[in-house]
Amino acid sequence: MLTPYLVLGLPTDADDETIRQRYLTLVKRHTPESDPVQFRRISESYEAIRDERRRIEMALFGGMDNPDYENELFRLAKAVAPKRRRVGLKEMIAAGEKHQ
Amino acid sequence: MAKKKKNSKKARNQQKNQFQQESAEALVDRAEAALSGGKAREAVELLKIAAKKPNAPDTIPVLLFRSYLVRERQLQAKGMHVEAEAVNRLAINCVTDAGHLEKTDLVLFAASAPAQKAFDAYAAYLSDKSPSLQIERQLVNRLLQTENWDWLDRLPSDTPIRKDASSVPVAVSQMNEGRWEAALEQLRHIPRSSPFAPLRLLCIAMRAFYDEDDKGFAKASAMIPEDFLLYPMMSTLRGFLTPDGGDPDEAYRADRTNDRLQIFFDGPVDPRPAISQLLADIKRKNSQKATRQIDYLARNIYPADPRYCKKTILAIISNMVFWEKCSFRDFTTMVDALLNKDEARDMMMRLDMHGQRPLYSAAHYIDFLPRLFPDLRRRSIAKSIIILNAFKKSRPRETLAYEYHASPLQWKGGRMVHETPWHLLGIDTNQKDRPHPYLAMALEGIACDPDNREWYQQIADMPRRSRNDQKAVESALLKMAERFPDDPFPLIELAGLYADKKAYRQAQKAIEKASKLAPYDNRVIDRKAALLLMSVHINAWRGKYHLARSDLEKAEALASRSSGPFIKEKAVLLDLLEAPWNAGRIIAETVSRHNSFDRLYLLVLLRMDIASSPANEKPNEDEKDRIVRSIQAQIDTDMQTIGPTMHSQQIMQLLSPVPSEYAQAIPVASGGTLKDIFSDTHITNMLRQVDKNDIIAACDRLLATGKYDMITEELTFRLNESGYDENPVMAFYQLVIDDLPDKTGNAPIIIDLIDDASPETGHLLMEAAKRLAPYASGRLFKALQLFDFDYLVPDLDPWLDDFEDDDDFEIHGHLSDAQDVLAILIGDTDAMTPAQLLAGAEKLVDYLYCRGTSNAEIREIRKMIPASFSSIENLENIDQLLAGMPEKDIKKLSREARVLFFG
Repeated sequence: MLTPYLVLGLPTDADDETIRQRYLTLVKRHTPESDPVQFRRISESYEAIRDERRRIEMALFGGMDNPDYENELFRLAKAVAPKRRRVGLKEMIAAGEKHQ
Repeated sequence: MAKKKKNSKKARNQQKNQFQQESAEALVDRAEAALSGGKAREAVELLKIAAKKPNAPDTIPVLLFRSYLVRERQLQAKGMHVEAEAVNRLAINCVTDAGHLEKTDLVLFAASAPAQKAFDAYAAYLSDKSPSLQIERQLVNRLLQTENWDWLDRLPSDTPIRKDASSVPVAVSQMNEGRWEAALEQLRHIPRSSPFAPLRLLCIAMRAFYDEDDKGFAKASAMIPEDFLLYPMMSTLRGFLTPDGGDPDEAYRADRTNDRLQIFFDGPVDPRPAISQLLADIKRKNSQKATRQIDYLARNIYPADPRYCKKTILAIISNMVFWEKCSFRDFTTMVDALLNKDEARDMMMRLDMHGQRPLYSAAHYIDFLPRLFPDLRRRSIAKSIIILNAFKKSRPRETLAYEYHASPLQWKGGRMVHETPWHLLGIDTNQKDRPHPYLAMALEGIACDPDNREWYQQIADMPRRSRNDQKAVESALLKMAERFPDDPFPLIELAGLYADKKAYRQAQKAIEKASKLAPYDNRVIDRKAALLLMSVHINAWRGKYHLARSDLEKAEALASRSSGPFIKEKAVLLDLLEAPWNAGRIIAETVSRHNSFDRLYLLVLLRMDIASSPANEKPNEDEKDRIVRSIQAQIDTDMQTIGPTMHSQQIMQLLSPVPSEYAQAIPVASGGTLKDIFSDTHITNMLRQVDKNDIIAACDRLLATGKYDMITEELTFRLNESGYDENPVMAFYQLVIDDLPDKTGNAPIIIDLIDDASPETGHLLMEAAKRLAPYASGRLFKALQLFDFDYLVPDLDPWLDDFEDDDDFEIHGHLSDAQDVLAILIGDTDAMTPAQLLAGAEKLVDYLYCRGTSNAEIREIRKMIPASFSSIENLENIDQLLAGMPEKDIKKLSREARVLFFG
């Protein structure tokens, strides 16, 4: 199951220490007060892969036995923030006029 | 229709003629009224007529301009953009002298007129009026659109827009290159009151956007005024990055559909169309297209390792197979196309684990693990997880026996045996003194991964049917206590286990240790209180009242949350035992001290406690009878007065009054005791008062009383009220209980009910069957246990069998085979070799579904055999069949066979 790794921005072979460090970095950036939704997502993802047993379980049965498969797919797709592209003012104005 | 149209046109012409007769002023008044009523088209018509009149007022062009702009907005709202643009041109053209426009009109004019006209109009406006920020902001928009900074020269040099513009062209060229940070530096001197301030805010927002500071972006973009050119785009982006309230996933999906955001991101911003397309393709059984979609999604979601992503997507999609939204065949096609051989096998094995035979599938999956986990330690953890998964899937449904019989048969070691790789799960059916197979699985799981706490919790919740089971649980809990020395959980559970074994001192020791680890843990306090009450119970019935009272005081001092009612009950019990001759007075005092339901509950506890008291103890039987009569009289009175006002939860509390941890302190009432406490009328009334959500649980509790008629009557009443189709589980209960203990008359209706049930309901019915099975006997018992009622229908047309599915056919085959095996064993035992006889006996064990079941269960089946197979003559005792077999051969028989044949 890839979603927790994507939420935390980690490779699928990350070890306990890497996962913990990344989690601490992210929760400092997205605190429960400033960004509760993202904080919850990060915490859930960390709980899902925090130790080796959970990671093996995730690899074996993650994503299965979930009737809400449609939202699970969306969560997977959403876990990766699309890469931000440098865009210029002229391009923005043209796009704005196009969609007016 | 045509006539109606003609009449309407005629009326309009008449009205137009009437307008022609009116004065210009009157027409302008009418136009203003129409415009304020939102009738822009009518206003335009009227103003056009008025403009042609002699001495037309000067206000007509401005009014016409406003009317056209209102009309333009109306057309835009209708999505008629081309028409709206044409109307806009008319609006601009009708203004011949924009310098005379009011401020609000000029704002609108500046927003839509060609840039040159807009600047000229503002220059004229400034001749007699002061500068306007609103108009200048519109002019800034025009400058950004045209990037012709020369327009500014048309304005007086002291206008704010000219004063602040010096650094803007350079900043705008930097913005065009996407250098928002540099542009922001350029615009640093721009004040908040400047018409260029929105540009500076845009730079701040974009800098935050690229710093991935979404909060900063939201803050800056929220300050951009609504009349700024890029306001709609910034607003949409803000909604996407920081969804405000509601379901974030929903907001995410809604926002990602907006194409306007695409320019801000590389790759697909909106995965929804691709995912929706994928799900639609799967539902349409277009597995080839679905395969391509998965590939596309995987490459976009996780370009670093698309294969891993494909596995994840397939794992999620596998749920569609369970929910019958995707055929197994299509799923297999996708898996084979997207994954390599080993990965595909891994995926299909995982899918199998969710099927009808989780244990069998788990064993095969474990066999495959070396390929997935070359590292021994990780493999061992994986094995433990797989066993746990199979355990959790199999145990609620008790699939053990079914799975055993569904596994292939093979000739091994001189006898027919089922080919099962169950040793991989820790199950060894041949091992003597083995615990229950599920406990054996748990022990194997712990052996593979002793740090997996979930196993210990599972073990603690398991019923301990035999001494071997108790030993297994005890050893597991001791192991956990050693492994996790700071956790009070194993010690609390050990105390409970020792209490069940009536080893009070060991239980005390365990709970004292737990108390040292977690003195304020409620679980520890509750268990401690339960143990003290157990001691009170023992000492009270032994006549050692002083010891009992001392323990009762200790229990009271603990102030455990759950033990309150039981402490009160024991206090009254001690009073009664010490002075049985005063029973009437003690009960009367108890009644006066408690409120209505509490006292009824206490009396029921008391009644159960005394009913389960050991024989030949103090007080003597006569005194005990007198106490019981006094309590029962009060219960009867209370049931008449309080009974009708009790709510569902209270009734459920009365029917099952003692939680398991207090079972040793107040032995849980048997069905017989409940029957003695509550009369038929009480039971009928309670059943009627129980809430519909509790009725099945209430039935479960009352089944032990054997009052099947009353339960059936209540269920029939409820089903007639609400409909059978609405309550399949209730209907199933009614049909089965109506047949209890051993009739099969309702089997055809039950079969229809199961056939019509959805997969989820089918699962609920299967669980219901397991709960009802202990109250049934004979063939009904077997049908409930196996959740298969087909073979209870005796006269199925054999021709119809051809149209039945394979599973049904297999069951019929099994039964007829069982009869054949019995017939062979009866008829030709002398002619058979010992090996053949042994194989036949083992075959019979299989055909009667005895393999893997407990000895008690097999003995039940043994009793049923002569009756169930009545077509076989001269069969009185099954042990006669193997009577002549040498003892050394009998020892070769499996445990199940030995119990089946010899009891």
